[in-house]
Amino acid sequence: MSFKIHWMFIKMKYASRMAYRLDFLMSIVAFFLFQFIGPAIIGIIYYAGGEFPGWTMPQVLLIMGSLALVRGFSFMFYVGILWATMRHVERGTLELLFIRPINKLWMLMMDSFDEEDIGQLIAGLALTLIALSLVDVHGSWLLYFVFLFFGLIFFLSIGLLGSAATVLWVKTRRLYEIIDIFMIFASYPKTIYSKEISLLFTTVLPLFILGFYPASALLGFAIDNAVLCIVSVTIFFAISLYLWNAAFKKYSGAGG
Amino acid sequence: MEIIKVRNLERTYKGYKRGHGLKEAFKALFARKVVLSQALKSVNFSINEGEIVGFVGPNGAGKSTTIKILSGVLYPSSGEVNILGYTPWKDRVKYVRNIGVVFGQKSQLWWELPPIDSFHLSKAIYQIPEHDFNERLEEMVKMLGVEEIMHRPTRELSLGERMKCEFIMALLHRPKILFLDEPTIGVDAISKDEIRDFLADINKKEKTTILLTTHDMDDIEELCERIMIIDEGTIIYDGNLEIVKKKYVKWKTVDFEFLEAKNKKQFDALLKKGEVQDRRRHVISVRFNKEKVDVPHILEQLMKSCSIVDMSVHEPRLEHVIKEIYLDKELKK
Repeated sequence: MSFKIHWMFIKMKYASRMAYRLDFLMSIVAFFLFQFIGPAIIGIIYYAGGEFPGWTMPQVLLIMGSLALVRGFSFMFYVGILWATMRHVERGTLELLFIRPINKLWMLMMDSFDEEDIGQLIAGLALTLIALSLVDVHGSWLLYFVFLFFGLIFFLSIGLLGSAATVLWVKTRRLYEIIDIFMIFASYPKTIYSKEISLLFTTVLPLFILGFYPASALLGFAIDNAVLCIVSVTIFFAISLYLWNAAFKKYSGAGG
Repeated sequence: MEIIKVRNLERTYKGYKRGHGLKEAFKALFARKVVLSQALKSVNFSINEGEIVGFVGPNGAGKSTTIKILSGVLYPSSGEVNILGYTPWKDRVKYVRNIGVVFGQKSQLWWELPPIDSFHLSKAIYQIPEHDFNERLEEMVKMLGVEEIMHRPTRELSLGERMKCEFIMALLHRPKILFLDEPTIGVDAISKDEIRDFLADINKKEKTTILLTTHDMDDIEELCERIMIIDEGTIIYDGNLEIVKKKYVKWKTVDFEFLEAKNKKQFDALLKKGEVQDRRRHVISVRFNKEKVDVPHILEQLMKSCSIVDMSVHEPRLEHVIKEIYLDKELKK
C-alpha cells in the first residue's frame, strides 16, 4: 500500500511541476548536462596523454557512471529530505506531514521526491552504458549491485544526518555543500591516493563505495578493504538513523 | 463517554537568549544563554464524545502546543494523554487515522493542483473505498457549495474557498475527532457562516468531537457550549459558556431613542442609577450594573417616564468576558 501512495505522490509531483513546463524541461536538461563535466575533464586528461595508473579512460568513466547512477537515484528519491526538512521547519509545516497515518521518514521521503533529478539519473545510466560498451566485464554483476546498494545507503545516511541537523539547528544550508566538496574524490580510482587518504575514504567517509568498488567489482579488479567499507557505511547509516529519530523526538514546531 | 483524557500535561521549550547588536550576535556564535520556557504547566481536561469545545487564550498561551501534542505531532515533556485508547505520540500511525486536523494558516492542499487531486491522495492514504469516497465527497461538496471550484488549481482559489476544501480534506476519512487551529482566520463573513453551519451539521449528524482554537469569539458563541480558557500554559477556566457569561457579565447596556420626557424628574433619577455612556439629544446609551439594580424593573419605569421610539438591550461581547477572566486571574495572583 505504501508503494501505491508513493507512486501517487510521484505522479502528483510531476503534475505540479508541469504547471511550469519550460522551467521543468530546462532543469532536467541542466541536471543531465552537469553530469558530463567530470567525464569531459577525464577525456581531456587522457587526450593530452595523461592517465590514472592502471586505469583506462572507459574504466574511469565506469567509476563516474556508477557514482552518477547512485547519486541520481538517491537525489531523486530521498536525499531531498535534507532540504524538505529545512523548508518545513522554517515554515512550521512539518505537522501537516505527520498528521498522516504513514511512517514519518517514509512521509518525508515522499514529500521530498525531486522530479528534476531524473536528468541526473538518466545521465548516470547513459554514462554507465557508454562505459560498459567500451570495457571488458570480467568481474561480478552481483557484487556490482551489492556495492551500488550500499552506495544508496550512504546517500540515505547523508540525507538523514542533514535532516536531523536541520531539526536541531533550523538553518544548515551549507551542510550538504561541505559534503559535496568531498564527493569529487569519489570519481577517481583509489590507486591514485596515498594510503592514509585511501583509509579515510574507506572508513571515516566511505566514498569509495559510490564508484570505485562497484566499477572494480565489475572489471574484476582487486577490491581489498571492501568489507571494511561496507561495515563503515552500515555504521554510518545506523548512527544517522539514530540521530534522526532523536532529533525528531525533540522537534518543537513553530509558533505556540 | 470521555474520549479525550489529558492529565498533568507539560511541555517545556528550550530557547536561547542573546543581547542586542552586532557585538552580542558575535558573542552568541560562541556562547549562548539557554532559556527554558514552559509552554504547558500541568494541563488537565477531559472531553466527551460529540462535544464541541472552544479553546481560547492569547497568543503564546499554549493552545497550538496542546493541539500539536493531541495530534501526535509533538512529544510532551511529561504527562498523560489518552484519546480513543491511544497515546497520540506513541501510537501516532494508528491513532491519526481517527482524527482530522485543520490548521488555519497552513494548507494540506497541493498548491499547483486542483483540490480534487489532493482529495484523491487522501483517499489512497486512508484507503477509503471508491464508493464511500464518492458518496462522502459529494455530500461535503454540496454542504459547502464548492462544486464549481473542485477542478481549479488551489492557487487560484480565494481564502474562503480554500478553507472549505481544507475541511473536506480533513473530514473525508470520517474522523471521530476534529482538531481546528484557528480555522476561520482571515476568512470573509459569509464563508465563516457557511463553515460554522457545516461544522454544526457534521457534529450533529456524525457526533464528531471538535476541539476548536480561535480568536474569533463568534466561532465560539455559535458553535460551543463549553469553553476552556488557557493562559501562560495553565487552564484558568473550563466550563459552560453561558454560566461563565452569567458569572462575569456584570453590565447590561440599554440604547434608546425617545421623543420627550413625560416625567423629567423620574427620568433623570432613573438615568442616575446607571452610567450614561453616550447622549446625543434624544438618543441615549446607558449602562446598568446587574448586581446593583433590577434592570427589567428600570426598563419598565423608563418606558413610563418617557415616550420611547426605539430601544435595544445588549450584554458585553465574549471578548470582554474573557478579558474579565484574565483580570480576575491576575488579581488572584
